Amino acid sequence: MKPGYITVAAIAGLIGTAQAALAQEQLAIGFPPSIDMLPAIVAHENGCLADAGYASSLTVIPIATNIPPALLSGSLQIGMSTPTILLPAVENGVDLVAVAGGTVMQAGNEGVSLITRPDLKITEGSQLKGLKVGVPGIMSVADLVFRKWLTETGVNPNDVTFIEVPLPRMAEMMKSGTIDAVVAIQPVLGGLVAAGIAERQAGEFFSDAADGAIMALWSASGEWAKAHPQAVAAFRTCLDASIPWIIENRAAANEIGAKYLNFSTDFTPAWRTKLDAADFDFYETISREFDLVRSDADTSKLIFAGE
Amino acid sequence: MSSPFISTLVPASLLLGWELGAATTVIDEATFSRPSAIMRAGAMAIADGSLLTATYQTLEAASVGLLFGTVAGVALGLLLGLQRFLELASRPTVEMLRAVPAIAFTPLALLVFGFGLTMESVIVAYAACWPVMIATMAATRRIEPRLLEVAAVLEMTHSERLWTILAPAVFARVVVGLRVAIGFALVVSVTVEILFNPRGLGYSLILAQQSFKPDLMYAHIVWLALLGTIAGALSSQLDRFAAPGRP
Repeated sequence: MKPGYITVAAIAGLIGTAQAALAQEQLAIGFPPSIDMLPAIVAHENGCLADAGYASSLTVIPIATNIPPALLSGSLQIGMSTPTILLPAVENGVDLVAVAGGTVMQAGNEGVSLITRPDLKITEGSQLKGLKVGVPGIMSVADLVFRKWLTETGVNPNDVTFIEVPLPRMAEMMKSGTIDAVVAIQPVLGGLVAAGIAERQAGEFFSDAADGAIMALWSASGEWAKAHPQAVAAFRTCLDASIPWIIENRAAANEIGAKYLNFSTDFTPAWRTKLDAADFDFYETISREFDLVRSDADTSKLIFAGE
Repeated sequence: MSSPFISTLVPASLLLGWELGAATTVIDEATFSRPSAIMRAGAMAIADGSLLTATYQTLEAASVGLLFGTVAGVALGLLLGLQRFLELASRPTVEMLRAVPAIAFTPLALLVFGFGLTMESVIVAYAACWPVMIATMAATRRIEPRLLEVAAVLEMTHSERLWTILAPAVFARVVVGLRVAIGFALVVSVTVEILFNPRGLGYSLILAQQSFKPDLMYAHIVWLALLGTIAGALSSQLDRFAAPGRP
């Protein structure tokens, strides 16, 4: 081939590659720094989403409640959510749907637990009366389930003072005695116990009250999901493919996750991508019980059915 | 003893005490880190480019917002300063809007603009607009009415009036308003990044906190203090333009 043809062929090849890249549909995914989000990170990093024709990008959003407006404005196409974010949003007319499941609570493998100051020797819920308990977010999934567990153990949640404490500040607040107990999430949970700052003797509130309940999920705007059912399907397929890969390649998955999460943990949550209306029924009931929502929601409409 | 030496005594003693306190575990390093670790984290963030990229993003949003806020503030200030009726009609609205902290509009801006430069710049512009507007309006009202009458008699165009009468009369006050606005711009942009926008120094700072890297978090705070000092020094230079004769 003459040099001129080679140049033309090379340029054509480059243009073709550039056009193919441009033709890829954008898929901006946002999530808070949590191990629950690892399958999506792996789906992006291992090229599953790119192979499916999507130019995916990942953004760590420190505050989960900023994700719904980012979905509605189009800054994100898919974002992490929870039933306690989705239910009040939908009740107030916000066009959000759940597109895939994230993690579920699994008894014996709790990534969320109540830990208490060692000097208080707390072994049961009734001892929490009059104490100050830190939670990672007021009216978050962990907070609501904890309140439900308190009522089941005979403690009126109003007898406990709830304080919102960001995960990185839990250690100093426990050490200083500002709070007496805290609902912590891995890897902070394990770190506080290992350092002797707190002990995990008060029982597993989450699995006691809601074993098998969904904890985190993936959401999108209803409008976007309806217009892009193939993208939702591809995202679900890639999550399903990533979960067994993570379990088989835990160390490599941790390394990939650390690029976005800036931490790694040996804890492996129970991931489940399939969602069912029943996943929301429990949360709808407790959300009404604790005044997060007021009306009945048609939980079957919360999940995007797909094509 | 020279005054620079005396000035460094207090911060140097504090830093040394902090370092020793952390080294002897009197100060909890997981919460307060230590000066040497902070410097190391800052140096690494500069070396890998992340700190400089974040700085560029924050300064970009602060500058764009400041520019639009200043232009809007001067335009509104001139208009309301010259048009008494308009000023009276809009006074309650302006006072009400001015009292709303710019950051309170961020959830709305996030819905409308999404993440990114536009959202942040709009919030900064909103915050920066008011001090410039108030200063411009006050200066415009102080213009000797006879000057405007002379301009009318001489049949000056709007442009001629602006450059020969209004601009010289309000310039010094606009600079004062601008100096206040510069302070607001940096504070507001970093706050928006901490709370809402995944870009810039505020975002890096909160990510460092959430990633349990207190040294990097403090490095960002020190860096922001340096930027604030530089911005303050630069804004004080504006006085030279406003009052050229002043030393």
